[in-house]
Amino acid sequence: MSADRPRASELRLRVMAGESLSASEEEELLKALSSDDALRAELEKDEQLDGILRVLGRGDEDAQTFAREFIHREAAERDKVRFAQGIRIRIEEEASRPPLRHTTRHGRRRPAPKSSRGPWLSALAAAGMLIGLLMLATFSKPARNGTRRPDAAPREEVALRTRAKEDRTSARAERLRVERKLDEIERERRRLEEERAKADREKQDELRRRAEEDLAQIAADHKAAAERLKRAQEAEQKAQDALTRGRPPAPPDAPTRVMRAVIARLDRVGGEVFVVSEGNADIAREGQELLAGQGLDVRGPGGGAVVVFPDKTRVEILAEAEVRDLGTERGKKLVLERGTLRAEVTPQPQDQPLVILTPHAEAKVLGTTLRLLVDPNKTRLDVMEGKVRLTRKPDGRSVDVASGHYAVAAVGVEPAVKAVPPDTPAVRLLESAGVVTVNFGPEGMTLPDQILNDSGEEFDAKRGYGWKGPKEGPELPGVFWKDQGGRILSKIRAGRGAAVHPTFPDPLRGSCVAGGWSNHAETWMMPVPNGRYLVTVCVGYTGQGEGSVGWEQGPHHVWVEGKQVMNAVLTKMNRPFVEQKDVPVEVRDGELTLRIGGYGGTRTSLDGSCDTILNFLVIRKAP
Amino acid sequence: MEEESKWIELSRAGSAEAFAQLVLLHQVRVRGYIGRYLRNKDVVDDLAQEAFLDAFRRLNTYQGEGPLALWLVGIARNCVLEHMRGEMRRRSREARHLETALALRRLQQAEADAGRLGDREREISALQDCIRNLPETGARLLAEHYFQSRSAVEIARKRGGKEGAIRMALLRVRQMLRECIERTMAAEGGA
Repeated sequence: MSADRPRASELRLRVMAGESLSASEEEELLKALSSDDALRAELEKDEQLDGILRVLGRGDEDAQTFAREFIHREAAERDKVRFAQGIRIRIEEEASRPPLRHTTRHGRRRPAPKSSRGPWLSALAAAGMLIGLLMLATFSKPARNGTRRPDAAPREEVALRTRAKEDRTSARAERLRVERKLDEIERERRRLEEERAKADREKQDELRRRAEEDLAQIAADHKAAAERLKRAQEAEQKAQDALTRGRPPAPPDAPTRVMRAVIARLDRVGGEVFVVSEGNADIAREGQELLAGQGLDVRGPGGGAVVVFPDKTRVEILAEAEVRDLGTERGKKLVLERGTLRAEVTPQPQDQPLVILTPHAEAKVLGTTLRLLVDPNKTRLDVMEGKVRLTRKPDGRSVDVASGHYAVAAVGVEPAVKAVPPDTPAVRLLESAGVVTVNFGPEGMTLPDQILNDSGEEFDAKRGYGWKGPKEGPELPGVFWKDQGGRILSKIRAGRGAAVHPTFPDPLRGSCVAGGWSNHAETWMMPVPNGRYLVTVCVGYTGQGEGSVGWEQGPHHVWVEGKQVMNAVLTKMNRPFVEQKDVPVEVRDGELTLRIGGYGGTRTSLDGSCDTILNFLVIRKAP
Repeated sequence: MEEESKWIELSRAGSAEAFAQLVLLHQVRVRGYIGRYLRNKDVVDDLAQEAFLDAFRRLNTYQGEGPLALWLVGIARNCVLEHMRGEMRRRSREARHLETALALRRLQQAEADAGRLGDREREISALQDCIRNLPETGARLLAEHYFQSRSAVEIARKRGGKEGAIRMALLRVRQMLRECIERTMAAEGGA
């Protein structure tokens, strides 16, 4: 393996570029790195230099932003320390104060009963106070008329000041994030303008068109970021004012805000979900009523929320998604800033569709079930039922997406409606990692994560792959095999058999499914999205050379999407016992098809048999 | 150096703004050191901020016994080690062999850096000189990839080549830079 240094370098470069390798490639790279110390040292030095260059390349503006961020982080840290000190002092004060229930009828204090558990009680009192203060910080709100109960004032003051400080810290962090984003956008804009000018000078129309499109997207990104910055600045200013005046910020249900109409209800809440209103984020509660203009921020990977409108329209907001500006004026409206939502929309009046806005597009819905996904570069709409119109923002181009189809809105991508691929593990892997590996071997094999196993079973739509026809078919007339003495061993049945080598270290190459005897062909299929793929096919058997027969295998005969990959290939002892080849294919019918066997020639392996032994397939989306 | 001493004094008196000047002065070295071992840009920045905050809090312990940059890189190394050890604990529960093996190697290298921080720091200065002396084609490719943040795929699309070829070309430019850094440091009497 160490002989293949260029291959190892290529794999390592792909890893450095953030690409995922297939399990077999990872194995290949690991072997190369562990067997060749010089190569490993060379590649490690290269990776380190790459990391340093990435930092050096970030320029002076980035350095300035980084230094500014230090000042803000330091201030936030200082706030946290001061707050913790404040809490500690209050706890100590409260713990040292005698309990009120020991006051006599005449108002004189009686000494508290002595107890050997005194220090424990103090500690308990302190802990109770801490919990109480934290609860106050989280949940307390002033009375609706804006006046506070005099006896509650000091604690409430502490809690509300805490919240104001937290608000200021998070608003400041948000502002810094957006400022950094704006810096990036500005740098990119300047670069694109240079590119456009260059294209003008060199009269390169295609380059100019692409630069124009990218600039339009940049302008939209800039606008969105500028709006976010404005909101963050306002929120920060508000929190700062509240602290400077020494007064708590207005609570979210202050009289000015309760005047807004209730438009929906939070039916379910899971994980970290916040109701966002005018720059303030409050913990969301199940059953909470949502007002016009409010939004939801689902943070972290495990969260989610379901919003239900009075007409039973249901919007499920998935993890790490942000929805803002809920509204019902002239039809329901919401903005999906990032992440994914699913909606089941009750039929809406013709002139008042539900409108979902994203940074890239607008979806108008009259009644349907849909899924909408927003990432920084694109918006994808999947329609399960009904029909939705998706309009791309910069140029207003639109497509109608019908049931079972999806469309993507992004700069540089022609809006087109495509069939939604089935939701199978293989399709999910292709969509998330761009690659799926299928091992062929007996059921129950232990395989690395994310490698699918095929043991020769008939196709199953839920599993998402398999063979046409039952695993064990009828006896094939005239097909048999012989031992080395020339004795006929058995007649062969159509279908597939699976095997695994007991000690071979690589499970992908050490296991197989055999089939396609003689003229008989077997077809394997996997529904995948239409598009171009690079398919790696590996055939052969690692057990050859062991036992009395089976020391030559094949001739292996394989086609992928009608392209022949293996043509009567024999794998033998003393030669590579497996053979691996790549083939680029294009899937147009939503199904990747592989055919094995069907060899009509005269070539056989030395035992007289003729079959194809599949080890594994790697299916990669081509760029 | 005189200016650096002034900022150090003001920072010791509690001025975060003064320390921000030191951040500006040394951020490339600190972020460069962290970037050597960690590939996620946001993690690199977070750890670098953490290292500077730690340095600001502990500035009174820095007595000027060595260059400030070296002291800062030492703090950054501790942050990197702590982060990577946590990562290794997390990865030990995962079955991603390649990533785990690579992460373990990076951790071992960072651990072995203890006596070589001076070299690490000087490598960055040497690298900046070597970039200036690159042949034009290499310099252009380097600028496109690292300074204009274009991926190999984008460069290939623009130039009409294959991304694999661009990655290999970048690898060759980095090889030239490494040879140049080694020559420079050998001439200065470094490792």
